[in-house]
Amino acid sequence: MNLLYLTIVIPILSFLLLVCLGRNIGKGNIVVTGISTIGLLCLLMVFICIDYHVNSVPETSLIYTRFLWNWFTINDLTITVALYLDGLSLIFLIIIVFFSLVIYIFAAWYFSSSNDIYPFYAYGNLLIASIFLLILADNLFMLFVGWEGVSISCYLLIGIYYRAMRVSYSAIKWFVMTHIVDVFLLIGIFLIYCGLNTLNIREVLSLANNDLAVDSDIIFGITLMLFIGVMGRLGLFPFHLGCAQFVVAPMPSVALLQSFTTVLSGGYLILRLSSLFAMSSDIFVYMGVIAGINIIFASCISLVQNDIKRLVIYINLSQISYIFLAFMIQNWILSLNFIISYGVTSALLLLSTAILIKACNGERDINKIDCSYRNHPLLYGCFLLSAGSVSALPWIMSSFYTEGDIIWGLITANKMGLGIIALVGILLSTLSILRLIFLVFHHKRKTLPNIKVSYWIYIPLIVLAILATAIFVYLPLPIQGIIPIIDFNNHNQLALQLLLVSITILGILIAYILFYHPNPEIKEIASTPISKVLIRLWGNDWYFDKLILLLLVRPYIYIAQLIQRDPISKWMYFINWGIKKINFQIISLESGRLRWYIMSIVTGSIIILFLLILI
Amino acid sequence: MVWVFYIAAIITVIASIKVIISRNTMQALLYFVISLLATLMVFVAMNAYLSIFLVIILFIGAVSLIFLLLLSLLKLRTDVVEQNKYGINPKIWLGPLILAFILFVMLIYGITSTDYSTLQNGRIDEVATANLLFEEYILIIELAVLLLVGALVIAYHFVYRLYINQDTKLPTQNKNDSGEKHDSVNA
Amino acid sequence: MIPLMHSFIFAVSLFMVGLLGAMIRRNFFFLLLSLMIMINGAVIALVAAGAYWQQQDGQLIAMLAISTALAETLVGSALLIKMFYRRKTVNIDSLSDMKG
Repeated sequence: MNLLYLTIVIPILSFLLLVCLGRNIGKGNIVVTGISTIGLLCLLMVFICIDYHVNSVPETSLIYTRFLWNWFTINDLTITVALYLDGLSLIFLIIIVFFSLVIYIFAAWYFSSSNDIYPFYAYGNLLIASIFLLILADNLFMLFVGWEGVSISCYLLIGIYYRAMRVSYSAIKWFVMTHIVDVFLLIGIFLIYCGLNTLNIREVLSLANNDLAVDSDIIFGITLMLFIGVMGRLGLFPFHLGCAQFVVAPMPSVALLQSFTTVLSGGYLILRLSSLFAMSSDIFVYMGVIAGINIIFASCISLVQNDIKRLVIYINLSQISYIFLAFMIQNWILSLNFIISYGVTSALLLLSTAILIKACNGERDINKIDCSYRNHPLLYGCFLLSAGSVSALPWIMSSFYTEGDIIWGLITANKMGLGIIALVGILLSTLSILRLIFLVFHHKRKTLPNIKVSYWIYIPLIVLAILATAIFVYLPLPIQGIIPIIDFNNHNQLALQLLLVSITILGILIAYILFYHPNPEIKEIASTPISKVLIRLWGNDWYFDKLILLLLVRPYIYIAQLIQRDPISKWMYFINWGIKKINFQIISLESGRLRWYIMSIVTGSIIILFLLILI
Repeated sequence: MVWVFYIAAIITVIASIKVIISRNTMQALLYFVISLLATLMVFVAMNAYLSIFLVIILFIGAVSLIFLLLLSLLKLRTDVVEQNKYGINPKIWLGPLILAFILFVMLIYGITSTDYSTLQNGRIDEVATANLLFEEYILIIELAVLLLVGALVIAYHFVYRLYINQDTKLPTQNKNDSGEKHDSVNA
Repeated sequence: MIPLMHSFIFAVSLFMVGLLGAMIRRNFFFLLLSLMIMINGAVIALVAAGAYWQQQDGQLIAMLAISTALAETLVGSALLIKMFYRRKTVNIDSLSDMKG
C-alpha cells in the first residue's frame, strides 16, 4: 500500500509523455502507452485491494493515511499533501480504473487518426490523475486542487477537435460555467474553515458532529454551497448548459466525462461529507426540488431530440437526478450503488451510440440513420440492454432494484410528489430511448452503406452489459463506519415493483404506438398547435439558452458597453483638466525672471511667518 | 550713545533706499558706502569693535572695491536697463512693495511681541574675544577662508575662460539678437 | 544700552529695503547691491544680538556672514562680467530663456 502515490504519478507521467511526444510517435505506440498506463493502474489496484483485504479487521473499516509532505503553512493552518485511503476511496478508485480501462480500449478502436487519439489518452490520463488526487485527498484543499484538475482536463477533453471554432467555444463555455459554480464550492470550503478551523476531512467530520448544532445556519450555508458546487459539476438543471457542451466532444470523451468522472467527483464529495450533509435537513429539500425539476426538464428535452448525441446526453442527465433523490432520502449506500449502476448504464449507452455513429459514417440525425437490426444484432442487443437499464426493466436490470429502492424510499419518507416525478421520469426516459431504437433500427431508409464494425470491439460493451444486469446489484462494499448507514425497510416492495413493471410496459406500449408505426391519427395529434409548441420548446431546451441570453448575457454586455468608456474616468477627467489648468498657471509662473522667484520666496516666507506667529 | 544709534540707523536706511532707487550706478555705490559707514556707527554704539574692523576691511575695503572695479571695467555709468518702456514705475514696484511691506509688518510684529525681559544680560569679556577666535571658532574661521578661496577660484575660472575666448575669437555669437542691443552701455 | 527690539527693527528695515531692491531692479549690478544691503541687515541683527548678551559669538557669526557676502560678491561679479560679455547687457531678465 506504500505504492499508493504511484496511482497519481503514473497517469501524470504518461500524460507528460503523450503530450510531449504524442505528435511524433505512431498510433500503435500511443495506444500501447495509454492502455499500459491503465494496465499498470489495474495492477496497482489489485495489489492495493489485496493489501487492504489482508490488513483489514472484520466489522471495522481500515483507514490508511500516508503523509507525503507539507505544502504550506499559514499561521496555524497547515496544508499537507497526504493520501487517505479507506473503503469508500477504494471503491471509487476501482470504479475509475475499471471504467477507464473499458473506455481506453474502446477509444483505441474509435479514433482513427493519431492526431486525435494522443490528446484523448493524454488528457484522459490527466483526468484520471486529478480524480485520483481528489479521491485520495486528505484535506479539502487538496480535494479542491483535484477538483480543478478534473475541470481543466474536462475542458481539454471537450476541446479535442479544437480546430473547429464551435468546439473551442463550447469548451470555453463549459469551462466558464463550471468555474462560476466552482466558486460556490470554494466558498463552502472557506465556510468550513471559518466554522471549524481545519480543513482535514476527518477532523472536519468529527468536529462538525461535536461543535456545530444540527440545522444551524453555518451547516446550512456549507451544505448549500457544496451542493451548488456539485450541482454545477454534474450539470443539473440551472447549470445543464455545461452538460450540453459535451455534444461537440468525441464519444469516448463524453463517456469518460459524463458517465463517471463528473458524477463520481460530485458524488464522492457528497458521500465523503455525508455526515455533514446529514446534519442539515433543509438542504435535502433543495436537493429534491432540483432533482425533480431536472428529471422532468432533461427527459422532456431528450424526448424530441433528433441529434442522437444530444438525446443520449440528456437521457443520462435525467438519470443523474436519481443520485440526488437517493441522497435526499439519506440512503448513502443506495446512492453509491446507484452511482455504479448509472455509470454502467450510461457508459453502455454512450459507447453503443459511438459504435452506431461510427457505423453510419458519422450521421447523427436519428431520422436519417439507417441501421437495420438484422445487420447489427450485437449493437441492437446492446441498445436494448441499455434501454432496459434506463427504463428499469423488471428483475433483469440492476437499475430496476436501485431505482425501485429510491422510489420506495421517497414514498416511505412521505415524499409522494417526488416519487411520482421519479416514476414519470422513468416513463419519459423509456419513451426517449425506445424512440431512438425504433427510429434507428426499425425504419428502412436509403442511405450510404454501413461501415463494417469488427466484433472484438463489442467486448467492452458486453462486459458493461453484463454488469448492468441484476447479477451485480448490491455488492458488498467495505464502507462500514465511513458513511452513515440508515436502516432501510426493504419489505413490502412488491406493490411498487408491480407499479414499475406496469410503467415499463406502458412506456413500451406508448413508444410502440407513437414511433414504431406512426398511424395518421398520431401524426394528426403531433401536428396540433399545442404539441408543435411543446416539440419546439423541448427541442430548444425549453429555450433556456435564450432565457439566459436575455436575462444574463444581454444585460452583461449592455453594462459592459456602458462602462466601456469608463464613466468614472469621465469624472476623473475633470480632475485632470483642473490639474492641467493649474499646471498651466504654474508654468507661466516659471518665467525665468528672477524677480518672480524672489517674490514667490517672499510669499512663502510670509505664509510661514504667518503660521509661526498666529499658531 | 543711544541717540548715535538712532541717527546712524536712520541714515543707514535712507542711504539704502537711495541705493535701490538711484539710476546712476556710481551714485548708488557711494550711497552704499555711506550706508556701510553708518552701520559702523551703529556698531560703535553697540560696542562691537571687532565687527567694525571686519566691516571696514571686508565690506568697504573688498566688496565696494570690487563693485568699483566692475563699474570701471564695464563702464557702467547709468542704469540703462530701467530706461526703456518699463523703467521704475509703480507697475514694477507696487506688487513687490506690498509683499515686502506685509513681510515687514509681520517681522516687526514678531519682534515686538517677543518678551525680552526673559532674555538676561550677560557679562562681556573683552580679552576673551581673540582667544575665542582662535580656539573654539577656529573651524568657522577656516570655513570662511575656504569659502573665500573657493569663490576666488570660481570667479577666476569664469573670467579667465571669458578672456581666453575673447582673445581667440571675438564674441560674435550674440550679434543676431539685436533686440537686446539697445540695453547695452555707453549710450 | 540700546534695546534689542530697536536693533532688530532696524535690521529688518534694512533687510526689507534690500529685498525690495532685489525685487524691483532688473539691473544685475543693483541686484548685487541689494543683496549686500540684505546681508548688512543680517549682520546688524547678529551683532546686535551678540552685543546685547555681551557674547562674542554674534560677532564671529557676523564675520562668517561677511565672508559669505564677500564670496558672493566675487562670484556675482564674475557672473556679471561673463553675462555682460556674452549678452552685452546687464539686464537679469535677458537670462529668462534659461528657464526650465
